[in-house]
Amino acid sequence: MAYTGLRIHPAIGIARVGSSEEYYLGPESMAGMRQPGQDTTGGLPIRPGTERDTILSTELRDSCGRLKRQAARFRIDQYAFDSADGAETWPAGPASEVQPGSVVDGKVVADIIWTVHLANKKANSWQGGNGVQPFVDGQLPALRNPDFGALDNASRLSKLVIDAGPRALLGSAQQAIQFDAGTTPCYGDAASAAICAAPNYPLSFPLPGDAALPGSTGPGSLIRSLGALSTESTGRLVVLGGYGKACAFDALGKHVPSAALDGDVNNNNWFDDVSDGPVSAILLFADGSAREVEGGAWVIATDPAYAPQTPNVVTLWDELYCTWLEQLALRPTVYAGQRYQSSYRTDFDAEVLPVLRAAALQKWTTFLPSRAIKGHDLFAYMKADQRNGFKIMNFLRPPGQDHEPATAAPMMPLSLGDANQSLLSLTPAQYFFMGQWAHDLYATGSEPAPVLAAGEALDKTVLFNCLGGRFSPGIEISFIVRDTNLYQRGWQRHDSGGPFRINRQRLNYRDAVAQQPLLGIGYTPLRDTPVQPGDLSKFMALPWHTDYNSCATHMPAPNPGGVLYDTEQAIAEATAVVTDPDTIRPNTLLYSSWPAQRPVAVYTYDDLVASGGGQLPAPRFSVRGPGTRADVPRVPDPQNKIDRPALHVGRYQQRTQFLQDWDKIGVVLQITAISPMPTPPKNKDLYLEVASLFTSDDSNLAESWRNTAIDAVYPPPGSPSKP
Amino acid sequence: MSEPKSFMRDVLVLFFKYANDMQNQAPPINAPNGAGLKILYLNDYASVKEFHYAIQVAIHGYDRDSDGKWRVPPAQRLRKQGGGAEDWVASAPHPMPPDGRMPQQAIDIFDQWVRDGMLP
Repeated sequence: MAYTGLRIHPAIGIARVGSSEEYYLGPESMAGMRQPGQDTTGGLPIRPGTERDTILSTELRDSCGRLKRQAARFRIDQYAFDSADGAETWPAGPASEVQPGSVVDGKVVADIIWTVHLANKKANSWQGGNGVQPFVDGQLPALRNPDFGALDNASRLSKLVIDAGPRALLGSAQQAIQFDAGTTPCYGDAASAAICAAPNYPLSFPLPGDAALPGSTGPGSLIRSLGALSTESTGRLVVLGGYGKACAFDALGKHVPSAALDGDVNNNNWFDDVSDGPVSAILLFADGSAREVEGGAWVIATDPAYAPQTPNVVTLWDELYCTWLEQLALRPTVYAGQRYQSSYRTDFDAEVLPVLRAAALQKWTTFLPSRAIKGHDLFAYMKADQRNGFKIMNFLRPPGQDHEPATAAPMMPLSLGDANQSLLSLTPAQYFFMGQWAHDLYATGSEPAPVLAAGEALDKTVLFNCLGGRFSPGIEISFIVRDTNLYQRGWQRHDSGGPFRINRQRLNYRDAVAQQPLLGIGYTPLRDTPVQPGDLSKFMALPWHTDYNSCATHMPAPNPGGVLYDTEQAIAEATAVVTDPDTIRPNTLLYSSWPAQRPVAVYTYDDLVASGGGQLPAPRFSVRGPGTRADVPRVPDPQNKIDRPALHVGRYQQRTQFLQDWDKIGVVLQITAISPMPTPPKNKDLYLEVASLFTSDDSNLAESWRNTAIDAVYPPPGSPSKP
Repeated sequence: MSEPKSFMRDVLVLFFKYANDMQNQAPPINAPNGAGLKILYLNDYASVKEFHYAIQVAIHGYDRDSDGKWRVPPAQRLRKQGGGAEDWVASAPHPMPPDGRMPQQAIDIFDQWVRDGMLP
């Protein structure tokens, strides 16, 4: 019997914080990839109220200079299947969007009820940054905020979980509803085909402290909202995240002006206002009936996109795709019987070119030497048959390998690795696809690649624009993207909702009781535990700001050759002329962390204009406000581990400063999206930093790779004057 | 008067980032005093000491721009070996680093190290 599948797309949507009330929509094209008939590559955010009009640089900030938030947009698609229990494959085939007025199973859709529930459980989570290892063999890592009792203690939950509860609205409403303490929670109820209020829902926001504390908007002020919902005229849902705030609390859980920020990933007594949670929908038909959309989605609100058109070499999509290939039988033609299929002909455009494009675009967010740039540029627009015998696999670090000599020809990707991995490698799936291409096993025009429906493409695109590979802890989703417990695993029936759906816990809002937290421990990695609101973001740094600030350049950790000590003998040994190429000694090189997501060095639009628009001026650090200079003598490390200024460039020296200045960082955009542009650019492949609010460069001279931990540091180049 | 510069403390930190490329990719160069072709190891005291003038020429190779205009005042220029008081090195066959000029602060340190007697 024919069955109409209903699914929300993207399966996982990404919103991003901003300091403004205003917003733009998240990109719905793949970062850095060519768009048909356009000079501008993908990844640009979209102007609100439009289908796909991308923004210009003048639309990144509001009229007061505040950074706009990035909203996540969701849609519903219907798929025509032969039966509810038919075997699902991916891609699932053609689909069409459901909007008010659409017909589903012969019935006219009158409206849509959207429900979203946002929460932030970071303060009531485990210490993060070490990947999955602390969760194996039944173990659990130490808790954040251990003084507040056990993880499921009701008092602890009420103090440390920010639970804004559910909010629902009609697709036709086109008005915002806030995730704040002053708005009554509500949810869509399929049985009554209505939005139901939940006045007794146990809302939980940071507790106010002394009334004399900072006002409602400044840095460190009390977090009162996790965002908002709205809808478009098409009935699509728009989810907004928070304002990029972080606020501190005392031993009683009450707001205080500040607390110690001792680490990059785990800071007790802090909240931030990122969040995540489920997105669900109910179709209301003109005949009075209703139907719940079985393919529910999830939204994550995270840090701003400071280089939206620059993809990571390993993206969040690559991580999810590899997991689903290897463990959830997504495409048996690629992976079956616990191995990749050697006869598979890779889809160059979908599976190889993104890696090459990402590698070529890294030069806009990290400072590569000219030789490396020339090498990468060869791949920027390569076609499948243009490899010309180049032995690319000789330059790719096999997954899991990180003990390469620092002096050898650099292996790619040239970035720091996953938790407990020194250097980054492609996912096994990416490595396999590259290998197939290297052996000329790629699909040609006579073997058309699978075509994704619009919603399925959105599933992929949104995650393609996020960080993979370096989950220590990452910035949007961490290592948990590789845990099959996170997902609805029975995806291979048409009525399941399809692949990539989060295994969400159904919460009973009707029976919620005030003061009794509804959210508990929730999802625990490697355990079959359903996922609650706040369970995806709780593995990220707390607050996210300290991790972002730190993640400029670092030495590999663990260092393949052991710890580098700052003694004359240790430095002499680490820097001595290499006579035996197999010698493994401490790696002194500094590598970027995740530069496509956290730009390290950028070419600025202001510098280009100041130079007359000719040759590109030298790059500057992206984070370069007062307090970022790293040339003062540091307190010696008690163990004499190396801790020289070169290890601290490109970031605030005091973590607290980043909490105040994160929204001053500029955004790297392709020159075709920059306005005003004095003269039409001849080279449309320039990606320049715009909209920075740093009026001067108070950091250091950015140096190209192979920069090292012992390098002298210098003042930055002169700054062009800015109003 | 500042403390005399030493190789390990002051010079290695200027050049170590280039040492690997020099060792693996740059061709051997003529050593001073007819000692034949040798590889310059920028992370080796003896090698840097031996090639110190060639290094100075290379890092001063950007002192004058392509329009013939000096970028630095006379006090920061390099006098040609055996040249007169104002006979400066104005260019180099292979200015270093190849991607552009070192910060003047770094050039000054190396010049001082040479003047100080090239201490280890």
